[in-house]
Amino acid sequence: MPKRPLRSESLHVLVVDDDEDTRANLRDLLELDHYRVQTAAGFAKGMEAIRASTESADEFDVLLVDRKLPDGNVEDWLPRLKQAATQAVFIVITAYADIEGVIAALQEGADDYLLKPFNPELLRKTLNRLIALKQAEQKAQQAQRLAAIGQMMTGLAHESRNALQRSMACLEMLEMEVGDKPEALDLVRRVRRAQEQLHQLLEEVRNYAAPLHLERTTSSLQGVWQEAWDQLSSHRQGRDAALVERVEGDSRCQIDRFRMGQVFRNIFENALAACHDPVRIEIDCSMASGDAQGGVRVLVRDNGPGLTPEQRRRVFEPFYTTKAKGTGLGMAIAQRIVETHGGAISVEVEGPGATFLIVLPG
Amino acid sequence: MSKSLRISIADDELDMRDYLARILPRLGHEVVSAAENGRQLVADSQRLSPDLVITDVRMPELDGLSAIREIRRDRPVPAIIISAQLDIELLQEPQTGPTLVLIKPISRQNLQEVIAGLMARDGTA
Repeated sequence: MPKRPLRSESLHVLVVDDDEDTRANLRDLLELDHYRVQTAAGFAKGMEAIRASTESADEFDVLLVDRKLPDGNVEDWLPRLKQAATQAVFIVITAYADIEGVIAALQEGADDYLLKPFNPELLRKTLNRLIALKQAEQKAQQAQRLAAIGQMMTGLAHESRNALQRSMACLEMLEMEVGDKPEALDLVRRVRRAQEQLHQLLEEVRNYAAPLHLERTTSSLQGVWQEAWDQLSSHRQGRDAALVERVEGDSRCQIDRFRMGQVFRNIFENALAACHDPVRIEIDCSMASGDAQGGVRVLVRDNGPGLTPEQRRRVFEPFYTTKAKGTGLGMAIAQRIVETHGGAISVEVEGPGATFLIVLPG
Repeated sequence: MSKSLRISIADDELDMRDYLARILPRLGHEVVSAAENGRQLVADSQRLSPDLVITDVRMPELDGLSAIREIRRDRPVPAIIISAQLDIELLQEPQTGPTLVLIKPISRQNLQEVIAGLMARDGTA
């Protein structure tokens, strides 16, 4: 399974320290910076917290661990902790005099150390630097893995399509042989539906795995999402569904119209599947603040049940789906398209519906 | 209904040859030969002078595109190429006769439309 990407918002931190004041102090500092903080007073308790976080699929992004605790030293526990929290940045907390302990911890694979008493600014900088590094590392790994999977998938999709083509051809011939036997014809129709689903799946996998080449033109993003909405008219048939748009300033940017249309289609499709009537999808488009090059910021919000924390975290993972139908590639493809444009797509915590934020360079 | 055509087909898959041989007559056309590779298709075409050639791309001995090129040295026979997505790059080269490409998976309806389109373009419909 793909490793989950670290997100900038609401990272999960575990503080392991036996000193109550240190725990409280760190919690305050980190919560000010919007980290979600859990604490443990010893290594064993820390391991428990890590296991629980893995089980609830809400792994820690950062471990801040005191060097010396009543139930052991960090260098003894570090291999176990690292193995349990594979995704986490690992920082050892220590006193000024304990240079040997720091060296031992770094040798065991800690990412960095912090000295007590804490300098809040240094803590912030260290965390930001290590998290950025981790994100870059994970991105590179993800890219490598995708390239390998891509080659395999392309080959598999090609071969499968040939076999699918033959089975479709044979089914068409069978249909002619069957004549007018209603039960047999019904079975033929059911096989055809399954074949069509398989075909769609192969197309999506191929689409996801194939290299993405953008053909950029200066286009109005509003035009793109409106076109995407129009293309979903069959999905909306018989339903009370409306798009509520607010556009502030200029929604034009350098984009591949077709690809960005796919992004909006995938978001709209999910919203239509998740929401009960009346479906209202709000789009808020504005110039990205602080972007001198004139980036565009688009919020897409629906009035459905919204996403659970787990769904929020995994929504861009390939093959992750909560729908009965679908490959779970829609949002993964959307993310790939937006990132290839040099932009970013994220899911926002604000509810009650699902909210996606897309930021594109101008 | 467009006019009845004499068609030579080629595909290395028995299922697909069988399919084309059964479907095309229902669309009002006659399959005059069914080849398993490009080499056979060239021989069939030279011998039978079909109105249209329908061929797969990837086949043993000689691929479909090379076969069409060879056949068209004699005359610019219209051709329908049934292709997998992966062959798209191969299809970029200029064609020396009326050519249309169908991407797999194909259906009877695809075939009907493409034959009508191609023959209308060729001016023989």
